Amino acid sequence: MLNIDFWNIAFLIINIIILYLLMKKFLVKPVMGVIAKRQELIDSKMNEALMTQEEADSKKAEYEEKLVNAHSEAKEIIETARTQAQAEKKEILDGARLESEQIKEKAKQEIQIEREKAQHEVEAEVTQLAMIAARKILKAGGVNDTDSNK
Amino acid sequence: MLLAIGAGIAALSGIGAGIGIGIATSKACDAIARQPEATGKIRSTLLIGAALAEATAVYGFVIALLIIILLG
Amino acid sequence: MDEFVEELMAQLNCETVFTIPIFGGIKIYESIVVTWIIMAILVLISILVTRNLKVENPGKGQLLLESCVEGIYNFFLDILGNKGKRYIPYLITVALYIGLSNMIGIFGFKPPTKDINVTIALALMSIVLIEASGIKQRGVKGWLKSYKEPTALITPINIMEVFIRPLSLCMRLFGNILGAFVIMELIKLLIPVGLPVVFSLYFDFFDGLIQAYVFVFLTSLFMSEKIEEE
Repeated sequence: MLNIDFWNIAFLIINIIILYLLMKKFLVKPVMGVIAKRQELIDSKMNEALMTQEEADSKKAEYEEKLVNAHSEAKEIIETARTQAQAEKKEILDGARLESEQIKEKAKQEIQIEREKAQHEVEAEVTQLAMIAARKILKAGGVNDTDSNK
Repeated sequence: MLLAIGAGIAALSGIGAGIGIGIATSKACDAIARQPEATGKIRSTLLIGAALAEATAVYGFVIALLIIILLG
Repeated sequence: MDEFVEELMAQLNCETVFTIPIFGGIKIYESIVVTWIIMAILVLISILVTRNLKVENPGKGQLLLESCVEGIYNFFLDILGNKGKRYIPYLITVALYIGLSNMIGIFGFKPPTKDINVTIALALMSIVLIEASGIKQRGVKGWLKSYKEPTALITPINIMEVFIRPLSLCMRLFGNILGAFVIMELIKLLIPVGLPVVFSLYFDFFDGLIQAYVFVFLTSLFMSEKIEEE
């Protein structure tokens, strides 16, 4: 237990160095190697995933932009249709108004003509009647100056 | 007879180690009570400290053994 | 009682297993033979457990092994830093060796760490490694200069430390294992059934592992001191 022996110490040191080499070869290197490899794998997978994510993000943005564009386009189309319809409506209304005005005018003219005609007729009749009355008076022979002057 | 007395005196070094480990443990208890979340760190530090303090007692023991074996 | 003392002494004594007949007979102690056995066990186990390691889809055993090795590796990496990476396999080896030699008493062998030659060898290797790492990191001049830190007045103490550190490492391990062994023998003498199991759990497993831990921890601590100091 307590007898210190140079050779034993030397042998032990050699033994431990051999053990160190063996353990390094058989335990530390394989295990750490596997861990490092797995780390590498994880890193590469992570990078891949990140890249895929980025791609998906860019695609999503693209689609979103497209969607927004489509929305605005649709809005534009609706707007143009609306303005067109408005214009058409206005035109139609204008046309109708004009026509109705014309018809009114025409009707007025006709009424005027009619009225004039009626007036003429009435006048003619009145003159005729007057003539008849005059004739009658004349026929009766009694001429009253004051009456005829009226 | 004198050998045995000498070995006994050498073994008295255990007193110091006992006091040291006792103080360390009481402080560790305080620390854990104050900061229960640091229990793991405190425990490992305490173990190292106790092992180092214990070495003193072990030296005494080795000396006592040497006295008995080499001189006896 | 005398009989017990006789037996204890016989147990404590490291027997000469055989003698190599050169240089006037080199005695090979039991501890060396047990070291061979430990080496064989360690190498066989490590070959067995690392037989089919897979990068993808590792099994439960592999995960356990990996977390163990990585845990120990990171423990040393925390102390030593990146500069001391190359010493980690040696420290792992020594930790495994000391841990297994402290526990091998259970299987009926004499723990090699109970032989002072083994602890002397380990402590010598430790101090050589500590100083070598210092020289490697800073060159001979920087290494010599490190003895004058923090002041030149401390130089003798620093030089004394070179001898005290391995001595304390060696004696701590040796004394702990020897003490545990003696106490275990005494317990076995008093109560041969039942009780020794409980104490064996403490002295063989717990104390053995703690001592292995303390040994490599202190070695790496001293080493990091030599490496890190600027």
